[in-house]
Amino acid sequence: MNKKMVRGILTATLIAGVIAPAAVASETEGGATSDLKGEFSLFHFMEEDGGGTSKAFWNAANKFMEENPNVKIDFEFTDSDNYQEKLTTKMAGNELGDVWLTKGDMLPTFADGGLIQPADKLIDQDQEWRDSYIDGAFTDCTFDGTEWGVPFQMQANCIGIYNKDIFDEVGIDGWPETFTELEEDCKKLKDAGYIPIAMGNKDQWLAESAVFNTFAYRYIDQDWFDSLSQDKGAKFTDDQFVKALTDFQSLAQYFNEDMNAINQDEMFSLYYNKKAAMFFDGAWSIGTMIQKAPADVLSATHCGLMPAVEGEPGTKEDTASGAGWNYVISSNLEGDNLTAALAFLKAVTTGDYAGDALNQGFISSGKVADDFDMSSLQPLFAEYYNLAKTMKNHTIFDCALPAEIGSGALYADTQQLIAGTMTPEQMAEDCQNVLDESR
Amino acid sequence: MSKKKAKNAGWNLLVNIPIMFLSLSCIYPVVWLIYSSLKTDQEFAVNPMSLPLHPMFSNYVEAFKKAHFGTFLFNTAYNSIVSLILVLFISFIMGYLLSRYRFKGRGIIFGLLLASMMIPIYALIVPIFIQEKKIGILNTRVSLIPVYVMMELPTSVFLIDGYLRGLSTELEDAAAIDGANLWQTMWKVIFPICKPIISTVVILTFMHVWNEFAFAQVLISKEELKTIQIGLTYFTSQYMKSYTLLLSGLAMATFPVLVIYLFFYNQIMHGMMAGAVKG
Repeated sequence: MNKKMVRGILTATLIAGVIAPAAVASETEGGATSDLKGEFSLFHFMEEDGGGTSKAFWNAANKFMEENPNVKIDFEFTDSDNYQEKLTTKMAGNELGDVWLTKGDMLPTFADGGLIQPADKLIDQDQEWRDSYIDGAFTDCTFDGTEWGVPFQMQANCIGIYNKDIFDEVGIDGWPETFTELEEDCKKLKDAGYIPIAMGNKDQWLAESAVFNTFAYRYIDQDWFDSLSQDKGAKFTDDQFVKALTDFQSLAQYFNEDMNAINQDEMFSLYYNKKAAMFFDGAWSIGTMIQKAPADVLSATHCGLMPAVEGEPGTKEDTASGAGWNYVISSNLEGDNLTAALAFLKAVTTGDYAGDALNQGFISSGKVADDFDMSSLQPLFAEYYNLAKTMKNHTIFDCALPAEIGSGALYADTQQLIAGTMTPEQMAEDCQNVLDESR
Repeated sequence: MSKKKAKNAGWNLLVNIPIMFLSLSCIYPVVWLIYSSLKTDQEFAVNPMSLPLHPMFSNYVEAFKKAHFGTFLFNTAYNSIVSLILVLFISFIMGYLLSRYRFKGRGIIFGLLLASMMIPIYALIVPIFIQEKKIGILNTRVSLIPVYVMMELPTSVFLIDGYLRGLSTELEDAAAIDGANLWQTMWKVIFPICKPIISTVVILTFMHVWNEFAFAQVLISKEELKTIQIGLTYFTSQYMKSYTLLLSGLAMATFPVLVIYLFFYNQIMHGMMAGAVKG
């Protein structure tokens, strides 16, 4: 056999191995008649047949589609764990579609790149829509003075969950109001053989985002954070912030020893098994408790706010909370398609959606109708709902700061801080350096 | 003599006990997966290691429906089988020609194949995404197939090349004397005697393609084209994960691969040894 033939076959097989024939599927749909018409795509992480936010979303979305048969929506689902990665890839390939969910820390990238259009001007065209959001709903959707996104939830990033039976058993009467009381209670619980505060920080975000962030607002305030994020003078190395880190490190002595080796679900397991008396986590944990805690644990479970620290300006009501994620609209979407997308976003963030969200165990960014029957709420969630009404909402660090610092250095350094392998001063300096580099 | 026998038995026991424990550590995760998939979410949350109190076989039905297993199973099987056929066809031809002929550029082909094995596959996700978009095959029935062929080809070629180098050329000489051309020699004479290494390529390719997640996640968006591995992510909500449904789904997704592996594992070992040692 000659060499030319061999080379020819090899070349052909190599080409065949790299490029395969293409077959493009397409689909079209016939439509009925309706005033509202248009089509758009939506990239999201709302699992169909899921619970919580997903269930309320699909209830509202299905209702919208029934009422507007001429609006065609191309839903593209990716689970929340892998959503961010796929979003980044789609952005690199310029395949973002028309409407998608994003976290606040990605807004500068989309806005500066001209990929999204401001949402505030669009919402302002419909006063009823504008008035249907609760105060502070747009904090995580705002960048450079413009509201770029449409929020759908309002989650407290930190709430204390405790087992009252265990508190009663060791002689603690009620949820601590101050840091000193919290420390005293923790000592009692530790002496009685309980883990005072369960912590599952294996994935790095929990200790910082769901606990320390709110704890820090006892020492610093919203003005300080705005100054830090806008580079107007405040620094991580400021005394107040370092003091917050120092006291938080001291609180870590009451966490379980394997705090950095277990995740959130394993932390819940410590609580379900009555090994831990309390934990701090985002308000989403209320829904988890309701669904998964054994009946006796659930009936003894109550919630409270992160205690205030004596001598510090913050109060127990100061809580890191917000929408976190929000819907953004492509700058290419216009005409009927834009109108249809806006109507859809209104439907899946306000109106009936808000009441349905409460029934599903979370607070939406939309106002609940005055005639909503609060007695239908599960007692633990109703308790949280009443607490949430007293909260003073503040920016969530990792939703507003650039990703390198928000979900980078802050997460990693807090893990080291609670493990005792980094001092508060070292962490403050490192975070400031990363923030400076990101600018 | 009996003293020697006793000594041997003692020595065997000493060697076998750690091996038995190691074997248990390999089997236990599978056993755990199966019994945990029959628990309620609450049981699992309270104690992930305990046995189910009331086995919930309905978890399998629910997981099957929720993760669209019917469609996703077909898509996974389609991707696996088409990729496998292409990998087998291309890698056998390449392996045969590379092992039997010396020609200009042979070293470059080997070098390219080796280089493609060195590049971390995850570094290729974004470039391939952009490339497929430009070609126009993103999010279609064939999006994943070229990627899987590209991923599996180098290993398969090296395995087949290594195996063939250990075979004598007498059969091919005899075939040539009888008037067989290259194509006939390759497929009618050599291919049938490469059964062990072909089995190895079949199993390794099938397992890799069946379990592949990263590219399937990024390159496919349409529900009707997604694969089983993507279906397994359908048990995760924004704030909650249904572990028992996930485990039921995992058990169902693992089953076909497990059956094929158990059926062919002797051939795999034989083929791997042959491909690795000879040549």
